Amino acid sequence: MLRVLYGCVLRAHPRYFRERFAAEMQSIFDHTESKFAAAGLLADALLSLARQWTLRPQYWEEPSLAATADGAPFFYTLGTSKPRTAALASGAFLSVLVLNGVCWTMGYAWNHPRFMDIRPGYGPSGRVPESKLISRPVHRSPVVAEPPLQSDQGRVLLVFKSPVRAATSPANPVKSPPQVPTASAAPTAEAYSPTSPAEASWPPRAWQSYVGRYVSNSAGSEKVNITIEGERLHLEVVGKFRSALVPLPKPQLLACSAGDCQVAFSTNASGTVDRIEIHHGGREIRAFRVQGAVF
Amino acid sequence: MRENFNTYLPLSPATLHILLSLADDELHGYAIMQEVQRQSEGKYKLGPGTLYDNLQKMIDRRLVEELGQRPGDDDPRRRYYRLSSLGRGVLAAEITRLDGVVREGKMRLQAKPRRA
Repeated sequence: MLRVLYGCVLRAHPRYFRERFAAEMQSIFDHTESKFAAAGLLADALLSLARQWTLRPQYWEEPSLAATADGAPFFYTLGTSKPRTAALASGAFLSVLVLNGVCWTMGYAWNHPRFMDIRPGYGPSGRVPESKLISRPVHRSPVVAEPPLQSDQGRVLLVFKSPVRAATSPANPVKSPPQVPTASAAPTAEAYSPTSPAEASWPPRAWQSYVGRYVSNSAGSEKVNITIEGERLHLEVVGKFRSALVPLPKPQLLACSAGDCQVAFSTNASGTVDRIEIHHGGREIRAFRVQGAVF
Repeated sequence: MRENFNTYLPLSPATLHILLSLADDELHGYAIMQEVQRQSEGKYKLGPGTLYDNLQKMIDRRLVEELGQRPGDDDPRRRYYRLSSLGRGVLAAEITRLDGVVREGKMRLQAKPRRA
């Protein structure tokens, strides 16, 4: 009974004092031999209880830092395992920042693509020196490079060699190839040696086959005159424009000396030039040759 | 820097007796109570409440160090304590002070004989 009472008095002590010394005090009580001594210890415990709750408020709670026997401090976890609100807010802001950075980088890369030359021997910066190539270059027989085609306002004209004259031209002037004449009627590319990619010298006799007048069958009914003046062919679209023609390396293909204009002649089955195609200012004029003098 | 032991003086009787009992050896609480009773020849008895109240203050003031439990002890609830270097210095200072008090007292008592 006394032991139970003593235990109750010990439990009534402040928590910090109780955690530290209650077990030892109980141990001392258990070693008492007489009930008289036990009663004395009970009275002492009651006195201690009053003293701790009235005179020792600084020991009601454990101090912020306690020390071990060798002076090393005890560390207690005062906070909870829940993260601080400020830490959560900072982490959220940082996460949004990183995510926006990644999305912006992806968007920038999508809008600013970089094309790489995947040809053998070429890298991101262009031609790679042979000394830096890992693999040996393949030596192939040299291929004669074809002269570049003149373009009409950036468009590329495709030239198809065919002995048969094309019946009609496609709607898209960019893709319509000018007809190449037969070897007997008109000069071919092999018969001439162009002095420059932009201009070739044709024999004057070849020009004569182009001289004449041409009439288009479109709604405008343009009239075209091809004449020789001096040593050059001249083109005149009646009422529109006039220009000298510069022969190109490709047969039957000429360019205007001034302005953005390109002229292609076509022959019939007998090899006679009977049609002209003029690409000028984004327009295309197709005209057929008519007999008689110029307009 | 030398600790000024005089700031801890004078010691209370309970503190003095506890420091005296720990001067020779490391003791647990019950042993301290028994040593104090032996030193005072039964004239001064410490109860557990008084003992641990003073031990709490002395530990807080770093006069006594708590060693904890000893393995192999018959009662695992016992915890041992020992005198710290500061506590030893404070005890020595208190003994010196008390020695001076005793000397002064003897001198005065011998100088003035009792009147009949």
